[in-house]
Amino acid sequence: MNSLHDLFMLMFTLSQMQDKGKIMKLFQESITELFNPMQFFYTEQKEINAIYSEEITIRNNSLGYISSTTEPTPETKSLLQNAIQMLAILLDRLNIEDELQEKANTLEIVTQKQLSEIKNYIDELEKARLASLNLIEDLKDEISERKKAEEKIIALNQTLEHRVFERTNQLQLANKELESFSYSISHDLRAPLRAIYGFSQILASRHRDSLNEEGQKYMDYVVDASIRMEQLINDLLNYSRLGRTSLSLRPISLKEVIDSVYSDYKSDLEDLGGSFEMKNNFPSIEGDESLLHQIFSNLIGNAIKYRRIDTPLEIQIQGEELPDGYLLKVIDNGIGIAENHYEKIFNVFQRLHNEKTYPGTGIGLANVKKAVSLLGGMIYVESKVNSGSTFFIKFTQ
Amino acid sequence: MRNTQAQILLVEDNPMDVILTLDAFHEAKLNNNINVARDGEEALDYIFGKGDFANRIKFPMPSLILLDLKMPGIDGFEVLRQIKNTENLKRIPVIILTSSKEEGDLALSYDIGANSYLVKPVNFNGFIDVVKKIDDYWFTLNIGAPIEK
Repeated sequence: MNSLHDLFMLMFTLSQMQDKGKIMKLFQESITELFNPMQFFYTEQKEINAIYSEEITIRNNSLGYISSTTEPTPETKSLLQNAIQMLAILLDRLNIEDELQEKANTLEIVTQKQLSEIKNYIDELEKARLASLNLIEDLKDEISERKKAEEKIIALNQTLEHRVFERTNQLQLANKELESFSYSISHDLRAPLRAIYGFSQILASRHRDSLNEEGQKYMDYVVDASIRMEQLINDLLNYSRLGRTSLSLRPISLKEVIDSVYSDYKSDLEDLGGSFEMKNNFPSIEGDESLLHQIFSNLIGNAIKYRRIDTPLEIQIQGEELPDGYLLKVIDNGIGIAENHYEKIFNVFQRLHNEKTYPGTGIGLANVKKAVSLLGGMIYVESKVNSGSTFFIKFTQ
Repeated sequence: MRNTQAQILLVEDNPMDVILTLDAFHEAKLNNNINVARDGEEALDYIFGKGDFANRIKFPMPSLILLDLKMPGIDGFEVLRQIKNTENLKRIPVIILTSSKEEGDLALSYDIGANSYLVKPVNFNGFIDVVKKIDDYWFTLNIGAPIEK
């Protein structure tokens, strides 16, 4: 019979198809055609009215029923059952294919999703990499900028140092010239002063009688002024001479210098009932003996000159070791110095009192300051009016 | 009792200093014969007896020279040098009488052979004292060099 062959052909045709709905439809139509005049129809649920039904099952799942209104012959039944089995297999295969496809699709989607995520991640990484490359470039630029700036600063520093060196040299030169100038001025002023002083002295004494009272008084003023001028010139000469001859620096015993100065003033101090005390051990320092002598002589002389009337004079010399040198203190209980004068008193010809009460030209402390700085030290004062003064001299070794 | 003939040559270029110095000697009532040379050249001419100064009655050889250092032209050092380098002149005592107390001037003066170094005082009365002391020391106390024939 042709039915088997037709059935195979049908199954073959169906196996080429993908659409399950169309497959079922074609199966049903073909079976009907093949087993004409039997009419088959497909239902999803078992039809009660059907005389005969064959269930299509795939792996225990029911796909529906092929039913007919008439009882098929055993041959037809057998063929039908085979066909249904083959259909079931086909459909199963299609289901499996569908499932696989779906799984593949899902996998594809997931994979795509993951790929997309990976791609994004890669993009982000790439962005970050580029960004860090840019950052590195920027940092490189900044480093080279900084290096340039550093080099500039170093060059500037060198220039500055050079300028400072030059300026210091200029200042030293100017200082030397100034000293030369004040030396020659004070020196050259002496000659005319000799004439003024000398002749006015002769007039004031030898020719006194040819002058009236006013003339005599005025002549005396001229003489006084000449005396004063001589003092000033001498002091200026000494001041500018300080340090003109090169220093002879060698270890000097401070105690010996102070003792020597004290012996100069000893009788004055005794007359005044004043006391003189040297505290601590005084070391030897690198210095020039005559400069050191001048320093102490001036300071102690000042302490005696500017003593208080109502209190017996007390002078104390103290010494203190410092980590970087040595600190000397010359302490007195004299009339003291007001704070706003602390700097002024070291100026040349600077006086705080009138000449009648305290004689002098005001050069003493200027000499001390110059001598101290020639020895590489510094001097400053702390004082309380009507109580006393302390002069600090700091030598850095 | 004077040991030495008081014959002074004053070498000084500043006319006012000349007047004051002569005045001081006068005030000190010293019986000195003082001649003045106004600059280095004149001093050398006097000492070496050149020109007018050959007349040793009018311009006697000095037994003491007061010598200023700072003079224009031939200065005091040059005068001193020539005196001290000349056989029959070098025994004459030379007192430098100057305004400068500069170490350099001191050293050079003594190196060339100055016998003494005095700084001109500004104080005239002080100067009278100095002059008295010069007279006292150099003409009374000090025994001068024998005069070479």
